[in-house]
Amino acid sequence: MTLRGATPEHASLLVHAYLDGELSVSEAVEAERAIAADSTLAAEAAAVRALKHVLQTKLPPERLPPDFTARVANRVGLARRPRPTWTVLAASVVLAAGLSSAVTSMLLRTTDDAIYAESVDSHLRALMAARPVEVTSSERHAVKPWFNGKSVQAPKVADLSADGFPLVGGRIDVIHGAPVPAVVYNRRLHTISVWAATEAQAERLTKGATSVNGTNLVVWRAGDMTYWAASDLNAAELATFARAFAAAP
Amino acid sequence: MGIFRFIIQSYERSACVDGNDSKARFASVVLPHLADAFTLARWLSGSRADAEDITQEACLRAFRAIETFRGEQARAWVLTIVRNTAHSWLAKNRNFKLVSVDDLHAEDRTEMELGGSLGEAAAMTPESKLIAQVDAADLETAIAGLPDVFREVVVLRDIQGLSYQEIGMVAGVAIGTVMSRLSRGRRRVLERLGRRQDG
Repeated sequence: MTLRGATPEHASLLVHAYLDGELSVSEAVEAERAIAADSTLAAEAAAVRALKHVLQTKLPPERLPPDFTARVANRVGLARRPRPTWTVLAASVVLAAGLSSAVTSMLLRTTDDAIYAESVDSHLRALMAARPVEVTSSERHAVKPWFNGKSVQAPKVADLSADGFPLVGGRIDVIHGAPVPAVVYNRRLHTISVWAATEAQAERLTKGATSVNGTNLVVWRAGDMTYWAASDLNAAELATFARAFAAAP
Repeated sequence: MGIFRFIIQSYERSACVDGNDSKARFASVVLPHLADAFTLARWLSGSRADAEDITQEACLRAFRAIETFRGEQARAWVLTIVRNTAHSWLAKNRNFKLVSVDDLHAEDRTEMELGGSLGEAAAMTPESKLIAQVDAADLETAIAGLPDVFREVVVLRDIQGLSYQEIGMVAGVAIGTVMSRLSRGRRRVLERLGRRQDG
């Protein structure tokens, strides 16, 4: 693509592509030369540049209506707990009569394990994002109010800096179809995500500790709340973290 | 062990095993782009209420098609579904018809015949200083007044920041078509803004 000998129409397309950063370096140099040499192209370039700027600054992306994410999650059944159909239940009864119940429990466990995999996914996604948190603060009094109105559960935000787990901030994840507050701590170079479970989630968190593809998980109860945490931190230190969190006021 | 296989298949059908996979996939592929999906639906339909319906419908479609997602360009994949859903939704609810390629060529021809070529468009182009002072409402009116084929590329590029390649994927056209629609669309917006300021 070169501007020399290009029709006015073609030259104009290239000016737009140049302003959009879609040209190679050599094409961009050609475009700059053409703009400098041609007053019509220069006028168009100036106008398009100004237009792009006002569009970006004055028409920001739409804000989602309140609860929209939750409604969409509901619509696709993310919020509903999957239930076996009656045929499955009937067949299970037949099966239970003839077979060891170990088979059934194995099948059921497959579905229960999903919550661990989903929470590890959320944790890893957050690590890959520019920031693992939506509210950044090492001050628990700044993090706790941020969750107000964003989720049903009000999570405990403990100050564990004395135990070597500085607070990083918080975010909201969607796990097993429900928005759930995540409080984020650091340990050296490791990040720990802590979630406060809904009742439905708590029912599924039947294991005290497990790991999914190398990410460790630990589950504990504090008062009437169930918490669970995920991190690439080793299991022993993660358990230490859970104890410190449970003991903190 | 026929009964055993039946149980497993039934479990899979009842979305206990596979279902959780596609739900997790939906949550990681589609949900992060919900605001973008809603923004596009809002610009294509012109109304926030309709955009809610369109986005929800598109999400359902995305959920059903999640197995066909190849793991690349999630945003463009989601927006493709939103665009197609918006078109069928508008066709059903508003007798909307996307300008066909033939129509567009006719339109282009007319424009050429009437001399609406680059020179004249540039003459109507307002000064960049004036453009900078345009308010959001005038911009919105100018974009909303664009024919659909132009509006979608301008919105995808200048409001949502997609690359030409991604826009080509979303609109289902070649990059050359993206370029020509984008430059024509922007020129029309500039003309409208210029006219507004003259009057």
